[in-house]
Amino acid sequence: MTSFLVTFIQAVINGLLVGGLYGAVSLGLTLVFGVMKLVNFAHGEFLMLAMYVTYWFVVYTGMNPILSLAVSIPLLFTIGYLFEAFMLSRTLGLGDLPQILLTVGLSIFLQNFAQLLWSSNYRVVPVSYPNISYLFLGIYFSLPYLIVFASSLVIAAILWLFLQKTSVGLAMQAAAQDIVAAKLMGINTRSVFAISFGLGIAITAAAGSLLAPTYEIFPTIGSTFILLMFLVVVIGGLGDVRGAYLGGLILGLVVTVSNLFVTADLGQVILFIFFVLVLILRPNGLLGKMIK
Amino acid sequence: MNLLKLNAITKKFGGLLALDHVSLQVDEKEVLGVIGPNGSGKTTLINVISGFYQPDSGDIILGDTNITRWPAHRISKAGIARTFQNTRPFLNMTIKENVIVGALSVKSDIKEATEVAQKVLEETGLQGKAERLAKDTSIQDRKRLEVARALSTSPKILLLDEPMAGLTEEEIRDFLALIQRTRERGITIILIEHIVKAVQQVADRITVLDYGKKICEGKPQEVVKNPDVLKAYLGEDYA
Amino acid sequence: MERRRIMAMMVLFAILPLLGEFAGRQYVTLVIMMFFYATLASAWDIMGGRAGQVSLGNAGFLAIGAYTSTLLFLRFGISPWVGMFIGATVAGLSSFVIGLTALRLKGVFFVMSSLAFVQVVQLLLTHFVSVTNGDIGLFIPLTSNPTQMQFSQPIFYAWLIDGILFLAIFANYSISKRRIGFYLSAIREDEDAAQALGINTGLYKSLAFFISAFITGMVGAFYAQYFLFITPTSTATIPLSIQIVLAAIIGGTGKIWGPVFGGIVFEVLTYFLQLSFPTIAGLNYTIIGALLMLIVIVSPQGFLALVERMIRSK
Repeated sequence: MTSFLVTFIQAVINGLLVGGLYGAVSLGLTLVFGVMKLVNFAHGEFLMLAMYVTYWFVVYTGMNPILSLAVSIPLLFTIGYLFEAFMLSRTLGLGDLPQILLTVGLSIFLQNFAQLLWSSNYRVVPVSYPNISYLFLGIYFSLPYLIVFASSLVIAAILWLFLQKTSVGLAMQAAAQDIVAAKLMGINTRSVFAISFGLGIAITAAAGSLLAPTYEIFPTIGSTFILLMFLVVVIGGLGDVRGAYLGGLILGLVVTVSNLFVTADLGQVILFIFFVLVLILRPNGLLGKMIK
Repeated sequence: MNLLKLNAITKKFGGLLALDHVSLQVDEKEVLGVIGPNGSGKTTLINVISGFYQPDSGDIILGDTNITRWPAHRISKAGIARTFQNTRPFLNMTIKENVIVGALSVKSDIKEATEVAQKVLEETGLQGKAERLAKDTSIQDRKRLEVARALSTSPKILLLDEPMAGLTEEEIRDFLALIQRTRERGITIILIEHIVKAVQQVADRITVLDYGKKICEGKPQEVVKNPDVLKAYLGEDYA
Repeated sequence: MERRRIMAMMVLFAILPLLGEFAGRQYVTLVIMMFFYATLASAWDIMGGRAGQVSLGNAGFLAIGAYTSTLLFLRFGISPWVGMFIGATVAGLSSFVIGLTALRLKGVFFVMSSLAFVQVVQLLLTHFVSVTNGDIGLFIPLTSNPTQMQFSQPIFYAWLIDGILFLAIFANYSISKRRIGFYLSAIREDEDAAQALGINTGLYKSLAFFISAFITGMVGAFYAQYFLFITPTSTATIPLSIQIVLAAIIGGTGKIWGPVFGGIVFEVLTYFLQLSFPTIAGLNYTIIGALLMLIVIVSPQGFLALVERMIRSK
């Protein structure tokens, strides 16, 4: 195989592995939009919080970072649920502006509160995934990437099963499709909203905890991710869970392949151009599902 | 003279065939009623005519212009106005301001538009509530506002989307009188309605839709006796 | 009546820098920043409050205005008085990029596109080092020459930004009295219903956005001339965009004076927070973030409306 072909395939593999993660991280955001028709601008900050939870968990217990999920998932679910129930719910039905501003306000609050509590020093989780790579057919498969990809698949699969097989999940889908009809069917949409929001946060938190060992953590890391999440969710179609995962994969590919040809920061610009093109040409996402 | 002609309009939503080769025409100054059971495609029809949906096939001809793929605002400017079934007033603006927005489509000067709006408010009986915010009004007033707003654009054709749902007998009578007055001003009306008795009283002709297909058309007395129509509304047993 | 109020306020605003001058130099700076945020909030409100389209990317327009004016001056010797208008035009034209992506779509896409826009502006400004000096930034040499939009006395800067503020207020006022004002409000309330009344919503949104971006671009040129130093990370940042939005909603969106007072209140607030808690990083904005959430929940119509309500109930 020519060396460029090898490099290219390596980039594709890495792109898919990283893309699975982008997808998992964005699942929560698209779920919240699908059910509640709102964009949570603070979503990146919940990712950040989950990362810190994992960090402190490992620092205090020295255990495997994966075990931190047992703390971060319930904790962030609860925070999300309470935020929705007591604050977000008051802005629904008043148009776009209040809810955008509320979540933006939350984003500012969380970023700066984190800075207040933990300073802006970069944190690195002390126990990390073993830095091994497997060589297979001339392509390197990095273990951390594989772990992260496998976890992203598990998260996505669990969410999918939840939505399809549980009554709460089905209620969420009903609310996403037609809120009025859902109410007429006796579904307690208030409760569905709160649970959906909590769940959306929890999923992102899970992804965050799994990611934490591979990143340097700081209070504004959420901002880096939020735009990525927007891109993924728009490409996949707002509210479309499978689309979000696919969108993540595509985005991962775009990032790694474009890195072969241009420098990293221009690569970001290419991402945004891609985003703009998708919005202009296929506003319902690449999968083109109908959204109202 | 045919003012508006629909030729074989088809509209699909995914697997759902909402309109199946529907053809109809409306003459000037006519009142055409469109009835049909729920889900028969009545509102989709209005959305297609007014440019909110693009048909998958077929044409719409206004006069001798093909307006099929025109955007909604252009169709409005061409003289087709519509109301929304679930009234959509500009909530944080007054009733008068709501109507002025419509009038601005024909008079770009605010003062002139305000005069037009005043007249329309009087015609529709809303002048007493002109300064009230739309969000502080009753559903009946909102229904009137829908019509007032549409009328202020000086349309040739007025599409009414189930305007009488939920009104009392007396309110229905008032509304029918409003339709009559509008018709006397020379405006052609397509009335989509569920309350067949009301439509009978005011329509020159009635078209019946069922599952997206036109199943009958003609004078009101004939249509209501038609066996296919009865079957569509009441089921097999009543045919 | 409204016109008289505007004139009265402008007289007041013109006097303010003089009062600041008597009170002490730092107060002139305070007045300048008050007008700075008031103008940005007012410009933002044309889209955000009137048309109901929330832009989180206005800092991008500020940066474009600043860099255009500065580069024209440094490379071609063009006076910033001219550069300001060229920069504003470039900023206005760049608004069409966001507009294009969001024309036919729900409001949230517009917000997202605006966020992406300011990021892209920052990235591009950082990347093309040969043109913009990248991260290092651009220095404007101190000449104190009024024809080059530099003044030896700070009070003149205050009057300059006051002039741009007047432009913003006047723009808002004119819009409110014309068809475009009614149309933008209609678009904000219900875009579909607006279209059904013959309003070309895409056109009007684009127009409003252009005006908003243009004025913001002008403020960008002012910024460059006042601070004499610009970098991508001091101008095209999301936090600055958010500050602009905050200022507008504190005062109340959709009204002529809301954003103006919001900008003033915002600056006063940050100024005193800075004085009271000078070195604890993150505390100011933690408070601001909490405040924003509180305002949205307690009084979605803004601080000014809340004050009005309180006055009325007394």
